Amino acid sequence: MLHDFTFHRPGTLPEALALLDEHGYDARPFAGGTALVVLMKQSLALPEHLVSLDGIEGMSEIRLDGEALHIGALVRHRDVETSPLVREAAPLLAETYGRVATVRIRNMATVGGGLAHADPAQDPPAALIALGASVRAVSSRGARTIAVEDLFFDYYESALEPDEIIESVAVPRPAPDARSVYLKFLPRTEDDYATVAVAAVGEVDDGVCTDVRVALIAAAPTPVRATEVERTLTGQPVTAEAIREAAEAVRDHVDPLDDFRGSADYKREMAVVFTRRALERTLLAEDA
Amino acid sequence: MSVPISVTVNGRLHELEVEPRTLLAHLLREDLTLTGTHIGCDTSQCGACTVLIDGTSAKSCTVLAVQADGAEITTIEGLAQDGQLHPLQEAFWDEHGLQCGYCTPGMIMSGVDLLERHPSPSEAEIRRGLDGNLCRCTGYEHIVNAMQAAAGGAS
Amino acid sequence: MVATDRPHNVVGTRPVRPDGVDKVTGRATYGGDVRFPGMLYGRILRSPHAHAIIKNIDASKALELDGVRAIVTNADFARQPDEEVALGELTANLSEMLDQVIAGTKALYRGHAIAAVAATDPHIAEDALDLIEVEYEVLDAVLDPQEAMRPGAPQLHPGMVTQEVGGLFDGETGEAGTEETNAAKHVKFTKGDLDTGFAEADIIIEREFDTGMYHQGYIETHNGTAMWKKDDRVQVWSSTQGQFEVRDQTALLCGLAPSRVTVEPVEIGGGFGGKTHVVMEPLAAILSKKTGRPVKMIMTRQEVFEGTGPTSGTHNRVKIGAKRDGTITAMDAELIFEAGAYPGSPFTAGAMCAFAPYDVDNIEVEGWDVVVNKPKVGAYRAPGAPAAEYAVESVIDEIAERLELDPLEFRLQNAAQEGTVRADGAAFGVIGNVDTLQAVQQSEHYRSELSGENRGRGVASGFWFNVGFTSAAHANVMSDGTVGLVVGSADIGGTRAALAMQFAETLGIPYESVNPQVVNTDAIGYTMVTGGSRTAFAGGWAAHEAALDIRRQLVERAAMIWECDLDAVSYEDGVLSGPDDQSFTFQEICEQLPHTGGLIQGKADVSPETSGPAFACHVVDVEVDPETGKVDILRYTAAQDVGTAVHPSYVESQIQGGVAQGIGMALHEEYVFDDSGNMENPTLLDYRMPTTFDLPMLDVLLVEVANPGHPYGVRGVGEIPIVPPLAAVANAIHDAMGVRVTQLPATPDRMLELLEEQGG
Repeated sequence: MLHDFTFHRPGTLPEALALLDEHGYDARPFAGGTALVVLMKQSLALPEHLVSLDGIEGMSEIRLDGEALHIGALVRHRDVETSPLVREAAPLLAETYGRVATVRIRNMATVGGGLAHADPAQDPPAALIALGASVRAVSSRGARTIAVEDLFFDYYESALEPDEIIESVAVPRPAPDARSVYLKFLPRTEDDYATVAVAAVGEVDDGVCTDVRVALIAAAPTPVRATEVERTLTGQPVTAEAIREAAEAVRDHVDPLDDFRGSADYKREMAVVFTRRALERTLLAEDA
Repeated sequence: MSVPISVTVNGRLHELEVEPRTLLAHLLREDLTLTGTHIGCDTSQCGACTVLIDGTSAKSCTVLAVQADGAEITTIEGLAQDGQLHPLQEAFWDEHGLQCGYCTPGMIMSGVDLLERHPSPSEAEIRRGLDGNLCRCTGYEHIVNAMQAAAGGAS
Repeated sequence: MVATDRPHNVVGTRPVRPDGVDKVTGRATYGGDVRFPGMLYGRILRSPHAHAIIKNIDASKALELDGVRAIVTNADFARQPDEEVALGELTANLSEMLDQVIAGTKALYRGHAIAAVAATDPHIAEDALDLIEVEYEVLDAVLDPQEAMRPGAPQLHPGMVTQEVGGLFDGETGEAGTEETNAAKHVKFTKGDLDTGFAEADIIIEREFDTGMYHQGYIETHNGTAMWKKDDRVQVWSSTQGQFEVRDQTALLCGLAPSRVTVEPVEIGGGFGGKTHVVMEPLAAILSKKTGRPVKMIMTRQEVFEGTGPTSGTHNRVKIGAKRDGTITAMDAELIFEAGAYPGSPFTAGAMCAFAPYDVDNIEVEGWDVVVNKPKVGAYRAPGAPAAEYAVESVIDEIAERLELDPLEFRLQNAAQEGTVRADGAAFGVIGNVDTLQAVQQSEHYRSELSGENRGRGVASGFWFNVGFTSAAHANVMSDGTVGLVVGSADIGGTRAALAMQFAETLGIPYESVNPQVVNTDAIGYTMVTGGSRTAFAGGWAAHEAALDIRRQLVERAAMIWECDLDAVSYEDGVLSGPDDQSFTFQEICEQLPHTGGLIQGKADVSPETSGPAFACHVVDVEVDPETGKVDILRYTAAQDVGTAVHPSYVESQIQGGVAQGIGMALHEEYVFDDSGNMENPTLLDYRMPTTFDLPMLDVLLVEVANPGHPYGVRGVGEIPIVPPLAAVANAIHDAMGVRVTQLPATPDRMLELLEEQGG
């Protein structure tokens, strides 16, 4: 059962932003609803006003603009997963969006909504951070760009102000010879929340790692970028031993919860294991 | 405060006033008495409430009725055409792809979406495509068989 | 009469189900689908505390809310005797049953129903819950059964002492204890002499095992709708496996004779034992009585987890001794089962099953039923057997390994057979224990090579009783040659078809000529719950007897038409033959009926004292990720003695479903409680049941050892398949990694800890 609330259906972005400005913390922007409706059903979110973004023009496109993919906030997860443009320009992104929950959720959930939800177990931020993506946030006060890496503050808390929404996501196109992988560990069943998941993007030139970015989800109150792991490897010859050592550094980046999906110690261990596996797949592959 | 919506369900246009907190599943079951859409979990894991919204599958117990404004919804009741069962309905019946039958409407609706995308799915594609629809009776084997039979019959 | 002597025309075939079209088109009516003009919606206020005295309930503010029509609490019900009384064919403590439905003086688990509201709209009913003011005195909760048994533990039921009990249906025996305790009941079975047996042993292994609290996980949540009419007759619609149980329990709790209550048939979205008793029906009935309107109640998934009857969490110790030559000399077990808030765990069944697959001279099994501040447990598919036999089959596996014997050979060497006497004193009739072991032994799966690192293969056996009890059938012959078969068994998994097939077989008519219907409790004779794997067995027997009744009447009618003696008329394969080569097909005689004395009906009530014990042996291949502890099922084969497979596809599906649930118990599922007794994972998001992608194809080997105690050789098939998977998976893990899993589910974090401790 849901609590009572008012449902607003603004026709344009400025109207939507005005409503969010007017109602402040009492309002929540609303798109696919897959996350927010579940929270509301469990009384974990009780907004008095929902401001529907559905139907607002110009926020549902995927386009490639020079060196970056631009994905409108209202694009559905499923569309990112299946978009030929995304698959060609940033296959990691398509792969990662394809791992979110189940297809019936992906058909509804939107890119902007998923990010604004700030659930640390959501898959996409891992890939977005590893690819160096940023969001364009808008409010009636103006627009700003926030790196996805800086978008999250705490469990279910993002850097967005209550009157602010994500308008689009910009994803720099990875180098043509960059390799990437998304590894998700599901300890119980296949559509469970991840216990830890790792996205990695890397480039190897003549046996030396020239660039690598690693990000994890479900391993801390927010998605995290494993800069220490990256720093250890960058500029170094790629060996199994170097990767093993570098992966150990992820321990300092993660801060997992003790819960029924595993103890904090276990999850920290898994962060190391999956970081190592992701790096092996990215940097050690035979044709790398 | 009720809001007006217009929604096409199984080919029929309905102009309705709904409370914003009404879930699509409840609209279908209570207001339109289409009780073939089942509810099993409240948190969108079980998939019993799966319907097609503009041709793609979604879990109607986490969709607000107002979100369906202007959309075309297909429920299990709308699948049979001209008195003929849909090939998937036929296959679930013939291949014993059900025991209690409670998950069946959601399974079939997910199956319709899956066969749209993969007309000749492998076993793995079927299992991946139905992930998110729980069946507690069958261990899934006869459901997978039914999907394969329907795909074979359709091709 | 035994009907198995000739080849079957219908039994053993795979026709489509009569309820199939309704279920694939969404037309089938489940409990939650019923609605009536003026209907009210009920919701339940539940205890936020695992253990608390309810000092006061003030519903006045809630009653003032516009749209709220009535509120009930335990005080609205008549007091019930606090003792075991006859109820149907079993017994029940109605005082405990009432307090379980709605808490009396104490809330005994988080989620315990405290008050129920009826309102004109479900949202209003929900809002009203927040306005009910309950004053609690919170008490310390005890969640672990071993802690609960210790002196000084928080006492759930003041004055409770341990009652000694006998076998499953033997009730109380022996003396009650004198010390106050949470150990509600105790049972002990002894055969031979343990000391002698262990003295003969060359090897003795003793281990302790824990299993989690699991939920049946039916996809349809509980519901109950009641309409209390002005003449004090009550109509009930409920998602239940046993409409007669719901009738009797609802009536008695509401202070009515059972004949005043009619339970209407609706489809049921899974049960697995969890829908065999009243849950909300009496609340809906009293709310309806108070308001004069029909009241419908539907549970949320969280309520299902917190407020219905999952299975017992258990702690079991098993000790087995064997000679070097592989002869088992002694078996000893102590089983401690959580009952939840009120006594009634399946500890006795667990104790009776534990060593049943083995023919051993010296056995002792003890069981404890211990109350703790968790939901009162209910039945779940072969109740008690999975946990008990997991412990036993793990130790059996370990002894076979130590003695360097093939695990199947070791089991065969000690296998219970016809005539073997169990620890509880019962002797087996014709059973398929050896046959299932041999079926696995000869299977392509067991003979195949398993290669690859971190992979292992495990086997395990299982036993479950199955039961008989009362079923009725009624059959109306139509002039067009079809028959309406009327039964009182809820059809959860295809019993309409299974009963119609046995009926058609006896009558010698096509399956398609039988139209099976489940009807309400006034329209058919008393029929026990669809549970205990009894419906295809006893319900099929009743259908067979009803068909025989029709045959007798048709022979009489033909003799009358042909003006001959009864002896001169025979009935075979649906054809009546008489003197002078006269004959009628079934269809022809049916056409004659209306103008030769009228249409006829057949009927039967059966109450078989026999049943068909079930054995199974499973083999599974697993792969363990040594770095994460995750266990994947690679291949699974289940061999089961199914008696005569009435509908082989349904039998296979029952086995596959049971295996999937057993794998869930072994690897995925479990209630997680915090220290205060709050369930931390009361959603399907956090309580993980196997999905399509977690299971491989599940191969089934049907072993048909006909049950001589049934006209068609039928044995129950539904429950036993959940028994072997726990140990089979654990034994496969051992084969892969060299570690003994003593706590289930074997989640990856536990597995990793185990691998680090035992080193592999």
